Amino acid sequence: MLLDLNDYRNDMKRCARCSICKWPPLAQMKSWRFSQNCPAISRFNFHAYSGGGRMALGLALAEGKLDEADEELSNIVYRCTACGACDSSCKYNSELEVLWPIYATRARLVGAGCFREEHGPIIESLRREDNPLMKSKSERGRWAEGLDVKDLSKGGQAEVIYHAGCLYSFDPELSKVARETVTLLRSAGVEVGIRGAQESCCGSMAFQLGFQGEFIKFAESNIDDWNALGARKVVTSCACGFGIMKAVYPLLGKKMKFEVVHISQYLDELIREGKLQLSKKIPLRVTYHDPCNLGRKSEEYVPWKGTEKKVLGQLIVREPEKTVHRGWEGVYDPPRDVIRAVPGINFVEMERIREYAWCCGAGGGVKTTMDDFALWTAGERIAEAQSVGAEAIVTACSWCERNLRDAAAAQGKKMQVLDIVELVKQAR
Amino acid sequence: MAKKIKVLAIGELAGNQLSPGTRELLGGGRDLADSLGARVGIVLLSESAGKTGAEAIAYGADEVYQAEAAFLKNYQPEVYLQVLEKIVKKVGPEILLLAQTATGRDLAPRLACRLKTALAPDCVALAIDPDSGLLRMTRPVYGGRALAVLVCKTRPQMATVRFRALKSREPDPSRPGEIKPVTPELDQSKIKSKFIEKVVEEVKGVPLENARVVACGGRGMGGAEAYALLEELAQFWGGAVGATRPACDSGWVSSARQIGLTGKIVSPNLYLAVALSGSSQHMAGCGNSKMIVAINKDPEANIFSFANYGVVGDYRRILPPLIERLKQVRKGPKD
Amino acid sequence: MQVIVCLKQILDPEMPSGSFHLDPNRKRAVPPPGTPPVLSPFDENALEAALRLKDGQGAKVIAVSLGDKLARAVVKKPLSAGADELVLLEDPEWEDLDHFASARVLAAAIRKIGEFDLILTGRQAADWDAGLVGSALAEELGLGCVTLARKIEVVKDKVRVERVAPDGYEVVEALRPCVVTVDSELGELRQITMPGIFAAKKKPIQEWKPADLKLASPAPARCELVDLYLPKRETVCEIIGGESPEEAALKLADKLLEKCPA
Repeated sequence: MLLDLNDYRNDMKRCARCSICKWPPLAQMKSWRFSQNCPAISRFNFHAYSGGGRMALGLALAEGKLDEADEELSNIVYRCTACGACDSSCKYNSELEVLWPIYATRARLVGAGCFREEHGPIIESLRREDNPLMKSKSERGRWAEGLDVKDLSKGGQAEVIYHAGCLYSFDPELSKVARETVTLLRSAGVEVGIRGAQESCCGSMAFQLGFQGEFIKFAESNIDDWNALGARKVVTSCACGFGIMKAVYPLLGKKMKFEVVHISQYLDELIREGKLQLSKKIPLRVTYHDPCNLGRKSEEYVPWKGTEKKVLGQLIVREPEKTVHRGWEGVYDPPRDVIRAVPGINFVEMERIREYAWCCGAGGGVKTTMDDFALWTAGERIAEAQSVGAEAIVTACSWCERNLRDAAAAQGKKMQVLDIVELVKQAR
Repeated sequence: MAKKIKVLAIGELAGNQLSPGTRELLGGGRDLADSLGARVGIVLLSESAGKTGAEAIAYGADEVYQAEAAFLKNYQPEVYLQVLEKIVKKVGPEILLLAQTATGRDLAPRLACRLKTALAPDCVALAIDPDSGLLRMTRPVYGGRALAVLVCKTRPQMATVRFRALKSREPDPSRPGEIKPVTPELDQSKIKSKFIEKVVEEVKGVPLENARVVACGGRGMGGAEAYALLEELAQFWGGAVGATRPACDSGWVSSARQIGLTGKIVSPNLYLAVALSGSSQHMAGCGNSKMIVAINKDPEANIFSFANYGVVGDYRRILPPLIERLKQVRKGPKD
Repeated sequence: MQVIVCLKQILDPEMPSGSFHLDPNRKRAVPPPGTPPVLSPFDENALEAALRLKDGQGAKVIAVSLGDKLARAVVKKPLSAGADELVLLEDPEWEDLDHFASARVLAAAIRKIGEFDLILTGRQAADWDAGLVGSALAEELGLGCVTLARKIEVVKDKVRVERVAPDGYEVVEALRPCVVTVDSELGELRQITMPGIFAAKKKPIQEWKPADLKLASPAPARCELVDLYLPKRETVCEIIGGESPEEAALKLADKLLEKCPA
């Protein structure tokens, strides 16, 4: 089973309440203003909302000391974007799993039927329409209407399949990104196919909310479909999709006959190979926002099973050795290299970057059901971008873009939000 | 001295014959009665029994309780219940069997209530426990993911049986048996519902539940047009066409043709599963088929773990030559 | 008009196959983490039937659920979908009742509700797949019962039902009040919306215990579950190959003709 709280009892027990989960490592801090890493603890300022606090709650649940049906428990558990910043920070100091117990706590609540009512329609929409957005699945392929691209739902195979993802498929403002992606790939000579109306959600939303069963169905059917369509490469713009396909899909034990590539990696490769040439100057001061799912959360997760021995009264030795996920292996450089390849661009980094990046606030279902929290979190990121003088935030995730744009609009902040594909398209 | 009726079946007629499910009840009931050293009875309610009493004996009944009346023409629960309750109480069988049909599943629970006994619906296997002599009733539960074996503590031990779960015997017109006419009585004041009319809907081929061969298409069919191929394929055997839920949800096929947990349950001799993955939701509706043949692009598809024969490939390239070949065979003599 | 809909909370029948495990001692499936219980899909069809009556001719819809450890997010769904009231019959004593005992408790609750024109429920609960409770409920209450409905209309003192038949449908009329069990052909429950969920927060929920229904301890089950097991699949799939799909097709045709002639 994928997510069993009991598998993390030892990690949860060992949390020493050092609170490192609430901050980036000291050596990474550049200012007091942007020194926090966890949206939930920053916003709600009570230990239970932090990674460590969530471990304590998870442990209490696993030990039967807490009732799953507790309303306040659910409030805390879901006021979290599951961004994984706590996990990366904790790993700087110790080797505890923090993010996966957070997932497992949610799966535990869900299994007991104690999910939040407002998540009901999302899951139902997934079950009926293959997307979490309550949109009709028959309209899924619409974004590609009029494009010269092979629609595999009408038969045929393709070695490279582009997976647009739910938000890029349905969001009227963002579906332009999906169209531009296909156009760019075609102009670089890539024979790309799409699944049209038969493309379905990657299952990430279900997974993040704790609906592991629903997730498994999406993951398995996607893997089956891509295998059957002869895919060698699945390219996605959706960072959430990329993260889950890289980190979690392999745990299902199904053979994946394709590699999963994020569009930023692919663009980087095509630019380096000279297949895409960027010639137009864009004299813009931009910064880059690391989507959690493209960065630290895209590292393949290897659950550890084995025996633990205590030596010298306090050191824990694990047999076999544990693969520790520190968030270092995420996709950080390709999008930055793509930005730097744009002529005339002025690229500047924010303070919290790479595995210690501040979340945009949309993750873990927060955008759909607690928009005020999502917008506040995005506002923090926009302020950070402004503090380094950026005129635009470039990012590579539909949810980040949607949320940052909404926050900029709602808070009246002047900040352009660009998808990396849009930037490349403009520079062609 | 004549042995006691221990196994009683409630039969259904199809036109002027026994329904196929009824013949199976007699075959299976015969086996149970033989292992109990007892006799088999059957109740037949109709407007006019014709030769069905003799037919029932040929198929294995020892006694036929035959009630004929104009008011028994169409199945109406409160009418049938009144008549049956009296007959069953009088016969006092150990085992009472019905077919899991639209009628059987409507009638059996209410009859069980009136007889103050339990009911194991939709059984796929029945056997007498050699130690206790009790009826072990096996039925799929959790959408066919598990099998439950039930033993009833009250009498009669009552079950409805899924089509094709029991085997009917070859009819033997020389079998001895007795037809006992019953005069049905009716208390009109207890009738709370009334049959108005039967509407037969235009379906190509035979109804799904009765079809010997079912061709079913899934999400991989890609559109409504593709089902014409399945129609052609099924036609070869006079079979029926079904669809999976995703295909029905996409509006390609009417939901009346959905096979699966929330649709129809079929158990044909041959199930042709085309471009469908074999989800547990779907397999709940067809897992009991005698033979499953899968055509799927994905060699890892779940359906291959259920199938007896499989072809890996795109149905668009496999079905046309397959149908062509079948048609040739039908037309000309075999080469 | 007052319509009562009985809905059962069950393990999700559509959980992934790897999540399905049996507890051999309790002879029950084990609820897996990450897959919530759901309302039996057929009971959702019944609720949809009730809501259509409400839309069409106006009705008050009361949802009733029976069991133990009823998950509020699950059993409150009818209110979010448009039902007006919810009655929860929740007690440890009511966990795992057999079908007939369930019908008895539901009947007692329905008598306590008092006024009703129609009782709806699904054709079966998609866990034990028996399809007994609706009919048993009608017998308990001494009412008429129509099963497998795909369309329901209320015409004066009668309920007119289209009942699913293998080759079409039957039209049946029953005196009201009566029990109708609903088939999936009637149609899926409407999509729940956020406004629906917020509206539901103001709707009344009653919670009744055995004492509220003046019920004695439930009778022991009439049937004993002596075994519950996973069916063994022994079929090994013979893959029919060929140089081309066309060749495989011809080989398959020959195999079919041999195994299953017209």
